[in-house]
Amino acid sequence: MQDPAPPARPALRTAALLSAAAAAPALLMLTERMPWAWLGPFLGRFHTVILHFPVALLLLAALLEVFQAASPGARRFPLSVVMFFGSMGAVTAMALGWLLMHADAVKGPLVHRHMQGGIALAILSVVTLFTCVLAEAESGRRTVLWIYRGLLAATCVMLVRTAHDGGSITHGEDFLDEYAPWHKAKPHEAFQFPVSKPLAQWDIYAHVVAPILQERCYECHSARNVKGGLELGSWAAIQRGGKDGPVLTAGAPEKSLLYQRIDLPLEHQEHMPPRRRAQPSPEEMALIRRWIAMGAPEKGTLAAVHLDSRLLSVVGQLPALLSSGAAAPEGGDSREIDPAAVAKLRAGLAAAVASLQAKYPNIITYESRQSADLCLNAAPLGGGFRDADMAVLAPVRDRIVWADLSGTAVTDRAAQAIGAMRNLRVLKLANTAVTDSLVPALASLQHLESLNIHGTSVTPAAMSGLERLHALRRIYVAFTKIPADTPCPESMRGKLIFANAVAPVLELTNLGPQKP
Amino acid sequence: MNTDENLLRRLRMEQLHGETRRHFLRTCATGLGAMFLGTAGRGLFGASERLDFTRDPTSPLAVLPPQFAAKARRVIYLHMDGAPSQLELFDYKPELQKVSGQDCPQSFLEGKRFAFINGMPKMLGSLYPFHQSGKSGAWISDRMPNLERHIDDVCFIRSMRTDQFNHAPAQLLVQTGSPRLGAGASLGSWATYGLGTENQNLPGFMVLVSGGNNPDGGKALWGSGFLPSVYQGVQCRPKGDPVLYLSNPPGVSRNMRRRVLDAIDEINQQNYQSVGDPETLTRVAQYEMAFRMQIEASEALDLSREPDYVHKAYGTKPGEECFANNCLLARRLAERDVRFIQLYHWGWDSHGASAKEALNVGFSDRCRETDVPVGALLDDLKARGLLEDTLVVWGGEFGRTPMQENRGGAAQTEFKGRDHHPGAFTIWLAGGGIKPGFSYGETDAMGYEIVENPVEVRDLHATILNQLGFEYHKLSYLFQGLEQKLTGVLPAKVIRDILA
Repeated sequence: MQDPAPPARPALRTAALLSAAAAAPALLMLTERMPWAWLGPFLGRFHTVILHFPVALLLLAALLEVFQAASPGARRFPLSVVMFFGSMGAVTAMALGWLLMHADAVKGPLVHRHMQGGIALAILSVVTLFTCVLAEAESGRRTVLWIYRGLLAATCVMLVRTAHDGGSITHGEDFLDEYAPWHKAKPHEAFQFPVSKPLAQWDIYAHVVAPILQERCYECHSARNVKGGLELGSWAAIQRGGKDGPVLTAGAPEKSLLYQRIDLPLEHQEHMPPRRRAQPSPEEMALIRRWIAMGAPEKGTLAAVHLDSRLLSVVGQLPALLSSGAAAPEGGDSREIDPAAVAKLRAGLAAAVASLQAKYPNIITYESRQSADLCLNAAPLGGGFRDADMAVLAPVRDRIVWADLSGTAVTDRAAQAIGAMRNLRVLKLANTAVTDSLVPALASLQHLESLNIHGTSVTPAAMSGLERLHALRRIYVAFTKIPADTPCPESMRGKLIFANAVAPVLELTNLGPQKP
Repeated sequence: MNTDENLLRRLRMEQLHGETRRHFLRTCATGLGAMFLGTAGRGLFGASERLDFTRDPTSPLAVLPPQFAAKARRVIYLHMDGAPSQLELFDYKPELQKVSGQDCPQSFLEGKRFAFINGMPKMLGSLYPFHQSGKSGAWISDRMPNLERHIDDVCFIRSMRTDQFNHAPAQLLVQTGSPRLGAGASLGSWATYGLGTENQNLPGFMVLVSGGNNPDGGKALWGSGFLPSVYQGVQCRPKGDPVLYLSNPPGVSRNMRRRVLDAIDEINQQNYQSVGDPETLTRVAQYEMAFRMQIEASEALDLSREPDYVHKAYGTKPGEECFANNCLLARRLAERDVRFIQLYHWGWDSHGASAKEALNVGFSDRCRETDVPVGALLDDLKARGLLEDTLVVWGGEFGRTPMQENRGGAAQTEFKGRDHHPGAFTIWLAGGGIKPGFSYGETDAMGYEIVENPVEVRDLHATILNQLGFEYHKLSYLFQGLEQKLTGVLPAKVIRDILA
């Protein structure tokens, strides 16, 4: 500035006035004491809007100051104006953030740090504004200028830290650098799945519900980040509930907020997890529902719950799900599936699948575009597909969930290869030469829901072996040596499907022309 | 030269002087807007994530996985050409019975167009008695006792409606999603386009017409529209050999046939190299399929390989044109993984103008012709485990009025009939992940208007595609600058309530 320095006292007064004006929005915090209860929560939501102003303006002020320092001869920008609005924004954002924190009952160390940062930033920016006005007015005094610049730098550091914490609360802590090459996925607090034990001995809370909650809810409801006052990180914390009270009504999923909010339609404002986040699959929801229905116990094994095959197979996939991040296989819905996880699984299979597809075109395909599971349909090859061909499937056998070998030349010698496809849900062996001696090998197919052996020479002796397949719901035994009136164990009743013995009704009387 | 240049520069300067802030902003806005629309904006219109259906051009029917895990791997569609009366079969209306013979309320006629009804028609109650059946307690008339055996396997939609009241456009709408000839691709061609077919020795989309009249909508009903023609339906002959010339003529060996095809292929390939018409490749692929079909199709289409009790159950008539033969063929083709099997029965247009078209005569015959084979087909699919992943659809192209048709205002005749009615009709679906023993939607007491859960044809299409593993708006084909879809441009919805 070329003008001679104005007297110090008016400059001080201007600075004090401007600073006071910038700090005034702090009064917004008092709305909590006002009689209109809606006002605080309402204004609080504007925190997410207002906060962008101080971020931009304060950084702009710093940027301009750098230019200023680099070319001292140039005309000074009216930086105090930018600083004024910047610090006013910081104070406003702080006040609104305070309101938001109380309205939405957000807690946790991250939130606490963000709050402290916000308050510090507001104070710091107002002080910086004060020195800025002084420095502009008293261009002669180098000390004031350098104090101001130091404060501005501190403000910026505080700003970046606070803004980053805020972003982490909203988007998750590894949002920013998730795709950076150095990024390493935060290891899940390793769940110890008792993989060696049968599913029935798994704990329903510790091994089923907790992993699902971790996958779907912890981002916002763990000890580290407690939105809505709700922490789902431990059984005890779940019992405490959130700001709207308890989230569980033992035995009544429909009355439990925890289930209600997941069950709302995706478009509903209150739906959880929020619309843009990965959603629990219907099976995962069903598992949570079952858990609440049985009283939401901390201890208790799956043996106490009757789970159908679909749910059991989902439970069986939880360890893989949590390590890969892929959603459970989907049926007819467009819920989010993590394409990256599927791509990773497919990458491991690619070579084997490609060579199989070259050998048997159109016979082996992915179950869907969103899945790394495979369907095998050898039926069109008919007699051209033999026991020996089963060996070729070995590299991908774990991923085959659907297999149609109807009318092929497979025999009992393929038993081992079939039994090795442990994730099969549907197996069709109709019109093949398989016999009762194949059945023991099927014992490993614990996910099998549908078995088609029509037109084979299987006899009632096979029934005891099939009885042990708990997931099995449909067994097609038409045109076998199992007669429709065969005595069958209670557990098999309703699962066996025979040819319909009812003769078609052939008579249909004609009314003939009627006189009007 | 120099002067010219100067003049031009002056002119340019003048123009720039005239340029205002508004001009500048406008230019920016369109430029930026265009850039936005060209990139990020595409996402707004759902265009960013198109599914890829490209295949090796020499195997256009190669299998592609569905978008998500499918409940139905194949479809058997039983189209009842002429539109069967829902009021004589599935839509029980006791109130209508009470007013039968009375004049139709004026409000039924206002603002409505009819194909034949003129003046003041009389109401007409159902000609056949209804009763409840099965665990589901669904109402059904006495005309379809064999379907009734499966009443707990099927799902009725009693609230279908269409916007077409003449046969051809209504059939086209149901089968191709568009009432205009050639403007849409048929359901079956969409299915084979989206999924391909696992059995490469048979067409992926086969059409079986049961003699009599061909459907009014013509062959466009199984046409491929804008899709490559390789996806169109392959029609089998209703009588005699279903496919002609499957066997080589005397003196031609399979080897010789192969050499002929190789020569033709070579010429076609040369033609493709120079002209680049993809239809040439379609032709090559068709020749190859025909060659493979010579073995597999003869076997698949040979009904004489079925044992007697099967023929008896279906009521087949070997060598004749009949729906029963086609139902049995449909099962044989489903067993062989044909993706889409389309059957047409005919003669359901019960206007009452003649015995053949009368609800009290011809209609009953149609029921008898179809009921036994449809019942047997459902029996058979169930026993063989095919119903689990085969979607069966039964329906006409529209419904029939609760008023008796008075053709040309003429006096009532001995034949009873009903006029076309696009406002409400009933269809049923079975298998393929559809909720069994369930009824959806409701019509008013007269069976005239839908009062609950109306289902548009495009909603039915969206639901069928959903069962095949596609969101209806993701199965699309870029043609004439538009992402063509079976459901058209209007919003459709999957009827989630009827899904198992």
